[in-house]
This record gives sequence, C-alpha cells and structure tokens, in this order.
Amino acid sequence: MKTDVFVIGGGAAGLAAAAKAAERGAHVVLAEPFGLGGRMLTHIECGVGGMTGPELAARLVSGMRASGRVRVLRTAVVRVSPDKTVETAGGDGSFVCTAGAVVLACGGRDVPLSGTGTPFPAGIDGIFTASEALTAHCLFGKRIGRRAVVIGAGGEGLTVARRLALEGTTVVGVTETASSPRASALSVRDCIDDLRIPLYLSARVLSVKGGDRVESVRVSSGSDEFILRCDAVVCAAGRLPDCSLYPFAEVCASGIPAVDSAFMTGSAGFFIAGGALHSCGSPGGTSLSDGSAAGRAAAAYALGGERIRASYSLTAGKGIGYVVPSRFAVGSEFRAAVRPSADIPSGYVIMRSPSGELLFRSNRTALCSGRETLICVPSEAACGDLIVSAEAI
Amino acid sequence: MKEIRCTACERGCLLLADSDLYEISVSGNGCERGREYALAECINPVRCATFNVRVAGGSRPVVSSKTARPVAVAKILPLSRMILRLEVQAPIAAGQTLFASLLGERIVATSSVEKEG
Amino acid sequence: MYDFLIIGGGVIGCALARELSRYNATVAVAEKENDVCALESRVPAAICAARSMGCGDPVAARYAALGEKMFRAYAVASDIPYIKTGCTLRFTPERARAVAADCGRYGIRFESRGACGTDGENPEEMFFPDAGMTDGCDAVYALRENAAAGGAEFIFGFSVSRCERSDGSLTAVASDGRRLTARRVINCAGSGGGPVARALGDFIYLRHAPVDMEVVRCDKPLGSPLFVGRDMLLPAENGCVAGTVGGCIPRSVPVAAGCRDAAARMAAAAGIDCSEPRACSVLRTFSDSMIFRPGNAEGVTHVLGAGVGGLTAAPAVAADYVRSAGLVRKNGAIPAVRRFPRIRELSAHERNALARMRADYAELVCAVPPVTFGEVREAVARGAKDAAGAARRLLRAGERGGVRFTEAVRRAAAERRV
Repeated sequence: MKTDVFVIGGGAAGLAAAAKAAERGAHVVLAEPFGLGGRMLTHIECGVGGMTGPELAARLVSGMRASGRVRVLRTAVVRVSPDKTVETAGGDGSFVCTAGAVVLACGGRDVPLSGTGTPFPAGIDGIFTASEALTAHCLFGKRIGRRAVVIGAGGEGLTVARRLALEGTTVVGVTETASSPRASALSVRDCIDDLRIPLYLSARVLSVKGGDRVESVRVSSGSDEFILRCDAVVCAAGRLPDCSLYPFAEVCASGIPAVDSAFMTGSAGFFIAGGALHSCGSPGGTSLSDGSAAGRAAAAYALGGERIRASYSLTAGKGIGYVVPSRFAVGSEFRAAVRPSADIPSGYVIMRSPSGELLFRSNRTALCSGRETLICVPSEAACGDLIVSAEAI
Repeated sequence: MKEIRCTACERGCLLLADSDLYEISVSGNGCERGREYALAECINPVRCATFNVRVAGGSRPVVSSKTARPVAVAKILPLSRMILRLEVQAPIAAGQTLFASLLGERIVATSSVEKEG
Repeated sequence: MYDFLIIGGGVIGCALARELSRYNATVAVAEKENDVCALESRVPAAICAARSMGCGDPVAARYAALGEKMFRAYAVASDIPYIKTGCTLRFTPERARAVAADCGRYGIRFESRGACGTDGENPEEMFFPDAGMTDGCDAVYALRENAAAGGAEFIFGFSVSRCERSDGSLTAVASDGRRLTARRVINCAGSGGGPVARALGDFIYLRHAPVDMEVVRCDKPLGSPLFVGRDMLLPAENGCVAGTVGGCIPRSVPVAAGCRDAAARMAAAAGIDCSEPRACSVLRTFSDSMIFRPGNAEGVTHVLGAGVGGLTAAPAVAADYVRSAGLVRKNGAIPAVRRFPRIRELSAHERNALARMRADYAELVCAVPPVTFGEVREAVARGAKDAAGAARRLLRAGERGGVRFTEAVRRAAAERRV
C-alpha cells in the first residue's frame, strides 16, 4: 500500500493533521485502533466554545471525511521504519504501507503511580491512571470503586474527580504537591468549589497500603500526616510524551522530541504532533493546532519534497522546563509552547540571543508550572539562535 | 462574604463578593468582566453539566450527555443521582433529547450509539 | 493418592512436573498462590551458568552448568522461547578468578575481556558465548502447560501447614484443611521452603540476606546481557537496559520505567521502601548453598536454594531426579503443547492469515503493545485467572494493559464459566 501521508493516531492532533493534509491535496491514511477522537471521547465536559469532547470529535471526523481523500484504518501501528514504512496489526488487518510523510499523533502516556516514586505493594488492585478511570466511566460505564483518592490536581486530576463524583463514587480527596492547584481556574471552580471535594494542597502521598485491593493512602501535608481510607487510587500526575513507536527521534534533555516549527523531526518526512510531542492541555486545545500545522507541512513535504531550510535553535533558559519546538526556520513567525519550571503569577517570557541581547518579550501572563504557555514569536525576532527564559515582573 | 475564582480570563483573580441588603460589592477583580462574573456567581451560579447515561441494547454501555442549557449549581448533584438510576434505549443520535424534563432541565445526548449487533 | 507431590509451583516445581508427567506416574503440584509465577517480574531472564559459579557452591554450579548445556534442546521440546546470545559479566577480580576456575572444572567456555575501569572499582569483564536469553514467565507457563498436558494436576491456593505419615505415604494438609496424599514428596517451595521442610520433619535453615540493587548506567547498545557482580543488566530492543531480581534499575531511559517498575514491585513485595532507587535492598531468601538431597523422612526430597540461576538449573535438576527415581516412560509420544501465537511477534502476513482463521485475533484490546482478544482468550483458557495473570502472559515488564485489556479478560473469563 502506498500513500502520501500516513497519520498514526486518530485523536485531536491526528484528525486535524489528516483533515489539513487532505485539504492540501495529499492522499492520507489514518490508523486508529479504537474510537476516532482519542481522549476527546472521554472528556465529556463542556469545553471550548461550549462543545463537549465527543461533539468536537464528531465535528472533526465529519470535516475529515468531507475531503474524501482520507482512508481510515481501524488498526494499531506496530512499527515505523526510517524509510517511512509503517506496519500495522489487528483490526482491519495487518498492512505494510509506504508513505511520503509520516505524522505521529499517537498521544502521550500517563505517568503511572510507580513512576511517581510512591511505594505501594506489588500486585495490588485498584490503582488507575487518570485516563483509565475516565475510559472506565465514559466508554465502559463501570465505576472504579466506591471511595477514591485522586493524586494530582492538574486539569486532568480535577476532571477525573468531577467525573467520579458525578457518577456516584465518593471522592475522599484530591492531593497536590504544589501549594496551589495546577489547573485552570475554570476546572477548579467546576470540580472543587461546586462539588465540595476536599482538596489537600502541599500534600505528598507517602504510601499506598492495602492487601489485594487498595485500602488506604497515607498523606503528609506540612507537618501533619493523615490517612485517607479508600478503595481506589487515581494517579493524575501528568502525562509524558511518548514516541516509542518511532525510537529514532532525537530527544532533548527534557524528554521532549526535537522538532522544528513545522513539527518535523530531524529525520526528513517524520512529523510529531500533539500529546506525543508535549503535554497538551485538555484534549482539543493545543493538539488541534499542532496537528493542523503538522498535517499542512507533511502534505507539503510529501507532494512537493520541501527542502529543509536552515534552522536556528530555541533552547530553554532560566525558569523554563522545556520549549517546543526546539528549532525554527529563519525569518518566519512561529508559535512556541513554553513550560515554566516554577509558578510565576505575573511575568514575561523573554527570548534573548546567546549573547544576551533581548529579542522578544511576551505580554504579561501568569506562568504556571503545570501548564504550557503559548507564545507567538514574530518574524523579526526569529533571526538567530534564541534562549527562552521566564522572568517575574 | 463569598470568595470566587474568576474564570473570565486566564488570570483567575480571586474575587471577594460582599452582599448586604441592597447591593453586592465586589473586590479583587482585575477588570470589569470579573465584576460581572462575580455578580452572576452570587445571584445565580450556573453551569453546563455533563453526565454519562446508561444505554440498553446499544453497542456501547453509556452515552455522554449534557444539560441543554446551563443549570443552577445546586441542581447538579441531585441531577446526577437521578440519572444514575435511569436508562435509555438504543439507538441514540447525537443531539437527541434523552430526558425532556429532569428537575426541569432537558438532557441532550452529545454522542451517538447504534443498536447492538 | 498420587505417586509424586511437588510442593511449590515455581521454576523447579514446574520443570519437575513436566519431566515426571512423561513417565508412568501420577503427579500433583501444590502452589500457595493462585497461579504459577505469581510474583514474576516479566523482564527477560538469562540462562547463564556462570552466575552460579565462583561462589563456593558446587551443587548449584554443577546443575547450572548441566542445565545451560541442556537448555537449547529443552526449550525446543517444551516450546520455550530461547535465543543463544552469549552473556557478558563483570566481577570483582577475586571472584573473576574463582569463576574462571569453576568454569574450567565444569566445562563452560569463556573469554576474558580484561579490566574495565568504572567509577573507582576495577571489575573484570568476562564473556560467555554459550549463554542465552529467555522469558522467565513464558518458560514457566510453557512448562506448566506441558506438565498439565502430560497429566499432572495443579492445585492452587494450597499452603502446606503440616504433614502426616502413614505406611508408605505422606499426606500434606493445607491451612484450609484440604489434604493431598502421595508416595513421594518434593519440596521446592523456594522462599517458603523453610516452613514446608519443618512440616515434613526436617530442619533447613534458609538465610535471609539483603542483596543490593545498584543503579547502573549503560549508554551504548549491547549485543548480549551484561552483568555487574551478582546484579544483572539485560539489553532491550533498542539498546537500553532492563533489570531483574537482585538487579539494577538503570538510570538511562527509555525502558527504564518498565524495569524500575519490576524492581520496585519486587522490593515492595518484600516490604521494602523503594522510593529512593539508589539505596535500595531486596530481601532474598537463600540457603548458604543449593540443597538437593533427601530429607529425614522416607520419600521426601528437598530442592531449595537454586536462587537466581533457578531457570538455568531446572532442566538438569529435573532430569537428575527422574533418573534417581527409576521410572518407566509412558508409551507413545506426548505432544508438546505449542505456545499460542502472540501478535506482536508475528509478521504482517502471518497476522493476516491468523485473523482469517480466527476472527478474535483481529479484535484489538490494547494498542501499545498490540494485543488481541484471541490472545486474551487463550491466556484465560491456559490458566490466567485475573487481569494480572493475563498481563503476565501477554505483556512485558512495565507495560500496562489498560481498561480495555481488563474488560477483555473479564469477558473471556465469563465466557469460560458459561
């Protein structure tokens, strides 16, 4: 099988990439093993523009189908080789497809409880990640337990807490290691204030105890230690970008794959977008625009064999955890997603040249270490290597 | 005295709304939208609530749904408790009304479910 | 009444059951967990005799050497996945000399690669070309299925609390009152071997000692497993390292998460806080040396303390026991139970052919790694009792099945009950 653009993953980024690439005239194959829409299907809250996740997914899917050049395969991709051959398994069948360009939009992976360093007994039941809990409720209609503790008060943690509380599970508490919830004010209002779920800030989970099933969670907050009795623990400690399907991508020190402003990796013709690249916010936000840009660039590459232009680098400086993309083309404006390493209630994102000259300063924004901030860098600033830093006012 | 987190923009100012018999005074807001938001929150806080409703005879066991218009916050938990006990029949189209009046609110499906088989 | 009762369904127990099931004898295996290899880590296991060399334990060394030589044929006969990769070990200079001496005595080939200075110590690196790699869990499951096909019975949830003697036979009584009677009893209950031995009327002292888990960095891809002293590092597909029991949690990513998972789970099972991965110890139960001898009572044999090299020694131990028991082989050929196909290991063409034959091999229940409902059904049919058991058979260290996987296991188990 041959195609112009192969999109791996049918979530927000994948659907947007497929739609855009088809719009640009490329033949697209999209491989998605489960429902088209990815995390949008489990995020049933009212989000952007008053639309819930499934409604947004339905709109993206019909937009993608309208172009008529996208073939959707219900299958899982098992291997991607450097010569742009993609092998799939299961579902509609095992295909081997050669593509002109490959877009990896397979999403990120939740950090499991074992990744947070909290000790818990081996083989214990009742520990879930945030997306597992949401999938259980929204796709399988099953509850995960009667009393649950949610670890992590980011957007995802609060969404899970809300879903659990509305579906009959008592949420015993939401713990968060930072001193303020990392989620947007909207989420906090919807999830904590309205439903009166106990929120424990500056609280570290010391251990999870239980026999066959979780029985209690020991939390230390400041100088007290207390025990929350529960029969389910949901770990919403963040999401890691996961491009394990394409292990040849070079990865920066922070764990983010290195891409340029068109989302192309160092290897020509491979694009990474959405959750597979960086931690996007609620589904349907940044990943949509990432996917569109990647789809457009992939179509341009596959149809026209776009030459790689000279790239300058964008590195993370003081106060910044990571910055996406890590390279950009000279002289064109681009959008950068910046993740601060500490909370700054009111500050600027500053880009300097390596010699210290100030090239660009963003508007005053609130910087939160739990979220990415999007900055539009104008073309005048994109004239050389840049170092990004965050400074308080 | 009510503490409200403003959601008008991403700054999320912490507003303080104090009401006496004749007027509500708002402080801590960074802009006018915050003040209006605080007033709305004090008088009648509304949200658009979403639920998963059980489906009988469908290809999926639940369908996601939302209230057709924003509802008062106080109704959300009672609505959720009622919906947990109810069930709808497949097939369901997105946008279809699942319950015409539950505590006075219309519940609308946001995704579709085909008949089983 | 059974001819043989094997207490402990671990590596040695399953290997013995498989061997004995080929002879005219009735065999029962009593295991206290609800499945074999209940606490197994799912990281690759090395079949390397040299790990048991040079520590002054002639019994372990001899069986490990024999087992390593037998393993290739054994793996083919029982359909255990096995590749001969060779194995690299690093020892302290004194232990390296002892290992070299033992290898000469037991006929294990090795190449000395000289000193490789790391961080102040000066370990010696040795390469053993005849060693290989297998999957510990897969091996034990294959042995169990072959044993069951040959007529051995597996009884789970049976925790031996005491034994009764009558003329010519022994009865093991479980803590819940169930009884199993047999003419001969083999105690290979591993870390639970001490109490079982006491129930059988022997006193065997099993020493508990911490084995340090080191955090070791390995940057370049390795073609063969690499050992550091008693600890072990294994290469994964893209050249990074995995860890194992008494093993190392690598600092390098990726794949590290899976092995840190496995090591953390094993530490947690021993009740040890693993939040500080550098300074972490795992309690291992082992005797001063491997024990393979008859007990005080007639008909009782103890096989304990094979330790980390248990899988390597298993074929030799089983063959030795059967030889000493003087049994008659069953008539006719006993077909080996084939390992059921795993989607992730087949080529695209094979996958399509399989999907055409059985529709449930096309239904995906997990995308990364690709797992289909057909495999879940097979795993449940062959003894997985819950999602954890199915995960041990179908997934590797650190991989999570997710909610779809758990639901699929539940569906397959419900189908079986009906």
